[in-house]
Amino acid sequence: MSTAIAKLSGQGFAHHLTWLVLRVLPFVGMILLWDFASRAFDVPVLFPGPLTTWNKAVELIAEGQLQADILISLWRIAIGFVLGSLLGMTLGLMMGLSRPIADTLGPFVHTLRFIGPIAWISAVMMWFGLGETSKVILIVYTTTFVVLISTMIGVLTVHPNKLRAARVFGATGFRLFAHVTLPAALPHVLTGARLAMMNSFMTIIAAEMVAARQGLGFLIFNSRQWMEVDAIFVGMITLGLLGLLADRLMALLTRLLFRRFRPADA
Amino acid sequence: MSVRISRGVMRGSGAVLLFLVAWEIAGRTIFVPAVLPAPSAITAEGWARWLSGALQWDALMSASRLAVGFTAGSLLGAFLGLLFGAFAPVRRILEPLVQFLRFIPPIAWLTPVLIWFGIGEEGKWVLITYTTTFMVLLNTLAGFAEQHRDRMRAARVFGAGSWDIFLHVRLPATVPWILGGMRIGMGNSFQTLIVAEMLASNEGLGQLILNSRLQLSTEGMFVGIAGIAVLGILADSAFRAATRRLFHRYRLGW
Repeated sequence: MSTAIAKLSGQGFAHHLTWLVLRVLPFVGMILLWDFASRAFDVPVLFPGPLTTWNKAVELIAEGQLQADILISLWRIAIGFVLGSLLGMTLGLMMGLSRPIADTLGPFVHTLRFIGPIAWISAVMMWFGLGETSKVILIVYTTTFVVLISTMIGVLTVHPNKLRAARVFGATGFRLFAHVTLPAALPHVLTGARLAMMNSFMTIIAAEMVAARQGLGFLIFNSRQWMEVDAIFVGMITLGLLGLLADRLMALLTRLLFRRFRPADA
Repeated sequence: MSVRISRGVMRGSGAVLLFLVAWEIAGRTIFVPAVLPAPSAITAEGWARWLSGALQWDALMSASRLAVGFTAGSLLGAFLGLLFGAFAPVRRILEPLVQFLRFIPPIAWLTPVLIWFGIGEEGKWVLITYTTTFMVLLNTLAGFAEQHRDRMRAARVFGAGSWDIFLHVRLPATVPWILGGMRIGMGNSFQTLIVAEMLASNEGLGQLILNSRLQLSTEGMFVGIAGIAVLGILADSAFRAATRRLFHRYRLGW
């Protein structure tokens, strides 16, 4: 096994090319399988193949609809993700630093994590109306918990020796927090944020079930009612690709910005 | 230690009690029941459903779907995670595909699953399995990313080959991560329950929430939400108790 790795992970251009091809292969395989399955299924309307889906995508792009959907969805995801991460980080730090706060908020956090955003749709609609607020709140909801739990674990697992060393040098209170606890917890916060971004992306459909007229979630969910499966596939693939892109971007940013905190590369 | 735990439990239950009282007051004075029913009204609705037997049936159906989906998802996630961990080239080749799929939520798969698996139980199992798998898989991979250089060196000094190292060093080190992933994945299973039950079902707690929405019965909706929460907390406690006992040597910390 190890010799195979050594052979494949050489630095030459040919090796890079080999790896690129190998990584694209599963996607090609999936498309071929999809094509085969759709032909075998034999009802193109219910199970369109890759070519039909591609044509639908071209059609949606030509109409300008897909671009508009992508923009509005990304905007909602971005706002929900940023607000949710900040909220989760704040609450996670509070719960990690203070036992009473952790005890008080714990039961709520552990109960709510079982209840998906879709269960809240009608409640949120009644409480916050049909506008953008409701959509963003649903995304904030699913983002917060992951960041919160990750941050709390980060604060709780700061090595006691680090804290002791800082205390020996006279650091207390805010200085101890800002110079020891926070930097040590940061990798956990960032890992949590990266995982939470998946939730932000996944919740966009639930969010856009709340009286939306545009967006990728709207495209997927609305096409469902018209049984336009090709449009559903376009929406799904776009969402997956955007998520993948955002994930890579975030991994790159954390590496560049927070290098000194050594965030784990998942 | 025991004093600290009981204090924590007291604080927690105090907070929950306070929250319920505030909710009750708000529900009775500020809001109409259709917008925010008081906990007492929700309890009454739940009790009526319990007496008619509908609530138990819903809970049982949901629990069976969750059990199948969670088990299948955990097994699949752990298997793929171990496969990726043991064979680095497999991981490098297949990981982009996994990373792509994990951003596509189960609700987007609703129509394809309906077409491929029909309206029976299978489709619901598939959706719950789908979301559980990713969490277990990603956590297992994170476990493999953690390097145990000293342990691996020690094993090598004693003449362990790469397969021995995998079996006796890397695999045991990953077990807590797999179990942690399963605990997180359980949250995903429960969150996906309602999506699964959007797939043409007549019973289930998720279906209760969806149906109450159509009938504008906010109490029924909250009964469903509370039912899922109770089921979730029970399942999590059972999982913690069982794994603590079975995997005692890994010091799971829960």
